[in-house]
Amino acid sequence: MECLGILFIGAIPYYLLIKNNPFKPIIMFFLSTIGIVLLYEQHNIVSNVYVYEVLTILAIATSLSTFIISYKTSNLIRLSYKFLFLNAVSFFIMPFKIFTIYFWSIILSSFLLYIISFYIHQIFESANFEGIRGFALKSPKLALVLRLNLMALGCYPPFSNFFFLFEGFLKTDSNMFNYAIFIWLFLANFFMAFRIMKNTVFGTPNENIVYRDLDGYRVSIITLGLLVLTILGILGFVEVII
Amino acid sequence: MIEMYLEKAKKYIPYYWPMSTFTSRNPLHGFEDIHFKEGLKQASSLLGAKVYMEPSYYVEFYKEGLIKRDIFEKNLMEFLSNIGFERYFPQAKRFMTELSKNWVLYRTKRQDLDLDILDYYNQKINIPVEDLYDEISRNFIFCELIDIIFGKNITDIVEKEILEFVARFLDEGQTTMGMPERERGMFEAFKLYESLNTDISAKEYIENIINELAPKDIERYILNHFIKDFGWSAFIKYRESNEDYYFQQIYKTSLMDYLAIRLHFERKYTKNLKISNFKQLEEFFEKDKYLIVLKLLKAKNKLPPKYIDKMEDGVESKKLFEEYIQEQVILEASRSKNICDELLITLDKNINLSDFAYLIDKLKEEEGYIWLKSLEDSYILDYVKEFLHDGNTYQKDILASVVFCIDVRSEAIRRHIERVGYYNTYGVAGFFNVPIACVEFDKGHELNVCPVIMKPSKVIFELPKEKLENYEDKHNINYTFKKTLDALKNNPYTPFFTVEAIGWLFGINLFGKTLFPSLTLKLTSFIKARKPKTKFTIDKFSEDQIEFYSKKFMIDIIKDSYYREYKKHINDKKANEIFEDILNDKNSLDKNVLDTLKSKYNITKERYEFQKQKLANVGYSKEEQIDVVYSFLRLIGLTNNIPKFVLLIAHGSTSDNNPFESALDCGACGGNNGLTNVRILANIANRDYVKKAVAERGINVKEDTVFIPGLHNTTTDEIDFYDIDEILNSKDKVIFNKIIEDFKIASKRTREERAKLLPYASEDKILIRAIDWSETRPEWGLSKNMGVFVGKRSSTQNIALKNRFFMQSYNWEIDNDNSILKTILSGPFIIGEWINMEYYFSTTDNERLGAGSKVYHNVVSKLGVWTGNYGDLRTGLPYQTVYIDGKPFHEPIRLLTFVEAPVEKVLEAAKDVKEVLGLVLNEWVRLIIVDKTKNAAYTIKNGNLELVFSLDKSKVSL
Repeated sequence: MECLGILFIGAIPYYLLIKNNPFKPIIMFFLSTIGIVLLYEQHNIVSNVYVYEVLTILAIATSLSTFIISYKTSNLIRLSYKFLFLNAVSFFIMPFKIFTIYFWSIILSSFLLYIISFYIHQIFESANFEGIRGFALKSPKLALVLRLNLMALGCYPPFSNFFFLFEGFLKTDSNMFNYAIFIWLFLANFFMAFRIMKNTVFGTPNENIVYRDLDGYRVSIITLGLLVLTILGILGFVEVII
Repeated sequence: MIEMYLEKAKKYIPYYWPMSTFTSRNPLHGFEDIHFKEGLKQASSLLGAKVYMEPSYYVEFYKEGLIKRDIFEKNLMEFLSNIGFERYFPQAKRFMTELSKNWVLYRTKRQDLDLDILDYYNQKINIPVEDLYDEISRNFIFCELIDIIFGKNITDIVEKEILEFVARFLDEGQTTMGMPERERGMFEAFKLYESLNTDISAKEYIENIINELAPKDIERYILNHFIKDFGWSAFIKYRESNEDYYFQQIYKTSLMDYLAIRLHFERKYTKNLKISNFKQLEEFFEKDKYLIVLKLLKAKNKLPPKYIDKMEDGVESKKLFEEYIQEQVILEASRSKNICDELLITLDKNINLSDFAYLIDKLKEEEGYIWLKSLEDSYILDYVKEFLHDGNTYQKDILASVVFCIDVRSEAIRRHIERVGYYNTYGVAGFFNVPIACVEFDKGHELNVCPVIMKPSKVIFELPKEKLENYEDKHNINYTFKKTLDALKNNPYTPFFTVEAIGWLFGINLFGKTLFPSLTLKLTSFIKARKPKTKFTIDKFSEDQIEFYSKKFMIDIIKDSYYREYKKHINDKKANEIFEDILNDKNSLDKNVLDTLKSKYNITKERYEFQKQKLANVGYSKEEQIDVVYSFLRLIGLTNNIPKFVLLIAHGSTSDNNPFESALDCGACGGNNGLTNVRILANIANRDYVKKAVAERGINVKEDTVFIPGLHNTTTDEIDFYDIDEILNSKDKVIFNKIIEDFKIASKRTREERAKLLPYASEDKILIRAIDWSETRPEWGLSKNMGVFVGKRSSTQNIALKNRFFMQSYNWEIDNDNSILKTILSGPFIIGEWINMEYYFSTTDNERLGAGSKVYHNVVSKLGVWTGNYGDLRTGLPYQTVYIDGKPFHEPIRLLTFVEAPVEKVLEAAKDVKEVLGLVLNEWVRLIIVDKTKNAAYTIKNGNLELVFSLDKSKVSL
C-alpha cells in the first residue's frame, strides 16, 4: 500500500502506465488523491534511508519531467493533474505536517482547475488553451475564476499554495538541496500556471469560436473552492508570521 | 531583379511620418489605384485586417433611421441585380437586417442536410491539400513557417534582433548613447554591428539570401517581410523618400537596407536547420502534408480546439484532416440550412437551396460595402437638401471677417462666432496660402509648415525683436538642469543616488499636476523661459545681402574647421584668403590645408553656391507678397465688402503627456500649429503697398483694413491674438476689445457644445484636460469627420454641422478658369481624404490599422510609439481617439465631398487633377456636386454622372 501511495505521488511518470487509456485524466486524478491519502497514513515507509534516497531521486526526476511534458500539452484538463506530480517532491523536503496541508492545497487548486477545464470542455468541446484565446474579452467570469485559480497554482499570495510552500521553506532543514528544490517549486509552479495567462486569458479572441460564459451556479462552485484556498492562505500567513 | 520586386512590394506600404509631425494618411494608399471595394478586399486579405464595421453596427443605424430604408433597399437591389438574384430581395433584406449579425450562432450542426447544399459546400471547402497549403503558407515568412511546423520559437528571436537594431539605428535622440558609425548608412553600420566582413551591397546580399531561401513568389515574400513590421516599414519608406529629413541626411536608410537586415537575421537563425529553405520545406511537406496543413490551420486560428487535442493525441493526420474538412462542410451547410429555415425558404419547394447558399455567401462578402454605401447615401441626401436651399446671405455691416482653417474643429466655433455678433467666417487650408519652411526662434532646423504633399519654396527665419537676457538666463539654467538630470538618469551608476537625493523634487510636479493642475501650470510657466517677441524675415534678400551672408557663413565655417583640424585660431583675413582660394580654384596657400578643408569639411565652391541658393529662397519679393495676399483672398472668395478687421485664425492643440499631440495640430501645416503662417500672412497683408496693389487688381482692400493673426486652441476653444500692439492703434484697440469679448462668449458656447460629447467633461473642466497628464483623450481631434464642403458659407451657415465637416470657402463665380477649384482639389481635398481614411481604418480595425490603446504605449527612438517594450511601430490613431467605452465614437465613412459649383466646372477641374480624378472614379471619396444653377445635386457612380436630388422636380435618385 505504501508503494502504491508513493507511486501515485509521482515516483513513476503516469504516462508510462496508462498512456492511452481514454479515462486517463479521471483515473489519474483520483488515484493520485487516493495515493496521497494513503501516504499520510503510511508515511513511515520512508523511514528506510535507502528507500528514502531512491524515492527522492525519482520524485525529482518526475517533477522535472512533468514540467517539461507540461509544455507539450495545450489541454487544461491534462495540465490540471500535472501539478500533483510536479509538487510530489515537496514530500521529501518539508516537515510532514506542512506537507500535508500544502499538498491538500495543491489537490484542491488542481481540482478546481480540473473543474474549470471541464466546464470549458462542455462549452467549447475542448479545453485546449491554444485554440481558445481571449477569455477576458469574451467570457469575463470564466476569465476571472481561471485567472484566480492560476494565481493559486502559480504560488501567488494570498492563496494557500504560496503560504504553505513559504512556510515549508522557512521551517525546513537549512541545506542547499532543500532550498534548491523550494526555488524549483516556486518557479516551476509559476511558469506552468502563468504560461496560460498571456493568450488564453488576455489574448485576442479567436473569431472562429462562439464564446459563452459560465453560469452563476458554476461560478459559485469555483468561487467556493477559491474561498477555501484563500482562508487556508490566511491561516498559512498566520503560521508564517508566528 | 530585386529592385523590381522591391518596388512592387513597397507600393502597398504607406508612408508614416514621425510623431513630432504626425500626419494622417490612408494606410491603404497603395490600393488607391483600384476601386475602393476591390482595394479593401485585397487589403483585408493581405493584411488580415477588418475593413468594414460589424453588421450589428450598421443595423443599429438602420433601426435608428440614420440609414434610410429606401436607400438601403435600392443599394441591396442593385447588388442582387448584378448577380441575378433579384427574386430573393425580401429574404436578402431580412438576412442583412436581422440574421447576419448573429452569423456565428447559426453554425450549429444538424442532420437533415440536403444533398445539393452539401455538394455546394463540399466543392467550396474540400480543395486539394496542396492548394490549401499554398493558400495559407504564402502569408508567412520562412522562420514563421518553421515555427509553426516544427514548434520552434525562432520568429520571436529574429524579430527582437531586427527591432533592436532598427530602433537603435533610427533613434532620434531618445538614448544618450547613440549607435556608433550610423553615418555610414543603415546597411554599412549593420555590417559592423553584425561583424560581416564583406564589401557586399545590400542588394547583392538580398539576392544571395533570396537565392538560398528560394521562395516561390519573391515579390510576395518581400512584401510579407514588410508587412510583418508594417509600421517600421512605413517609417523607413517615409525616410527613404524624404531626402530633406534631417536624420535621413545624416543617417541614410532605405527599404533595401531594411530588407537586407531582416533577411540576414532570418537566415542567421534558420540556415543551420535541417530544413533551411523553401525547397527543402516542399520536400518535407510531401512526407506528411496533412499534418503540416493542420498545423498551418492551427496557426491561423482556423482549427477548432478539439482537433488540436487530437493532434496531441497522435491521431493519424490524414484521417484528422478529412474529419476536419467534413465537419466544416457540415457546419457551413448547417448554417445555410438554419438561415433558410429562419427565412422560411425551405417551405418553398421551387427554391434551390444551393443557389440560396451561394447568395448568402455573396451577401456576407458584400454586406459591409452595401451598408457603408447606404449610410453614406443617406447622409448625402440629407445634406444636399440642406445645402441646396439658400441660407441667409452675409450680413452687410460686419465688424470682422474671420478666416479659420478648414479643419472640422473650426465648424462649431465659426457657427458660434457668427451667431454672437457681426461677423462672417471663411475656411481655408490651415497654412493660409503661405507654404513655407520656417526656422523657428532658437531652433536649428527648418520646419515645413505646409501640407506634406507640398514642398515649400520659401524659407523664413523667426528672429527675436527684443532683448534676450531674461530668456537666455532662464533658458540656460533650464538647459543645464535638464542636461545634468539626463546625465544622472542615464549613467549606469548614478540613477539610484539621483532618485535618493532629488527624487522628491519630482513629487512636487507629480502631486501638483494631479491635484492642482492649473496652479502647477502657472508655477512651471514662471520657471520656463518665456519666448521673446519675434519677427520674420519676410522680405527677400538683395543680391548683395545674399552674397554677404553666404560669404560670412563660409568664413565662419572655415575658421571653425581650421581650429578643429589644426587647433589654431585664424583671423577673418586669413579665412577670407582661404575662401577666395577655394572659390577661384587657386592654390596660393598651403595645398594640403585647402585639400583637407575641401575633403574633410566640405568647404567647397558648390557648398557656397548651395548656400546662396538657400538664401535666395528666404523671404518674398514685393511682387510675390502681393500675389500671396491676392490669391489668398480670391481663394476664399473674400473679394468685396472687406471689413475693417480681417482675423486670420490658425489652430493648434494643447495636451500633456501625449506622444500623439501633433496629431491634434493642423494637418495642413504638416502636424504643426499654423501660427507662423498667419503671422506672416498678416504681416504681409498689412503693408500699404500690398493693399494698394491688391486693390488695383480688383479686390477692394481698404487702407484702414487690418489683418490680425490669432490661434484657436482646439482643446480649450480659446482664441488668442498676436502682434496686436504692432498692428492696431489705440482707437482700433477699443473696438477690437469688443471682438475679443464676443469671441470669449463664442468660445464658451463651443466648449458647452463639445462637453456633451466628451466623457466626464463639463464646460469648465475642458480647460483642465489640456494640462491633465493622465488624460488619454484631451479632445476628440477630427473624430467623426465625414465630409468636406467646398463652397459659399451662405449654404451652410444655418446648419449645425457638429464639427464633422472640413469647410473650404469657395466662390465659383470669381473662378473663371477653374484655377481656384483645381488648387482646392489638389490640396485640401487630398489632405481631407488622407485624414478621413486614417480615421476610417483606425476605427474598423484599431489593432491592425490603428495604434491600439494609448495606455500601453511607450515612446521609441523619439519617432513613434510601440506597445509594451518592443514590437512594431504603431501607426494610425490610438484607440482612445476613435472609441469610447468599447464603442466606436468615430463613424467610419468615406469622405463626402460637396462642391458647390456648376457641374461642368467641377468635372472640368477634376479632369485636370489626375490624382483627384482617380480617387473619385475609384470611389475612395464620394464627390457630390451641388449645382445651384440647376437646383440639383449630382454624384459620380461607376464613372458616370448621376442625379442625387433636384429641387425643381423634387426628384430623388439615391
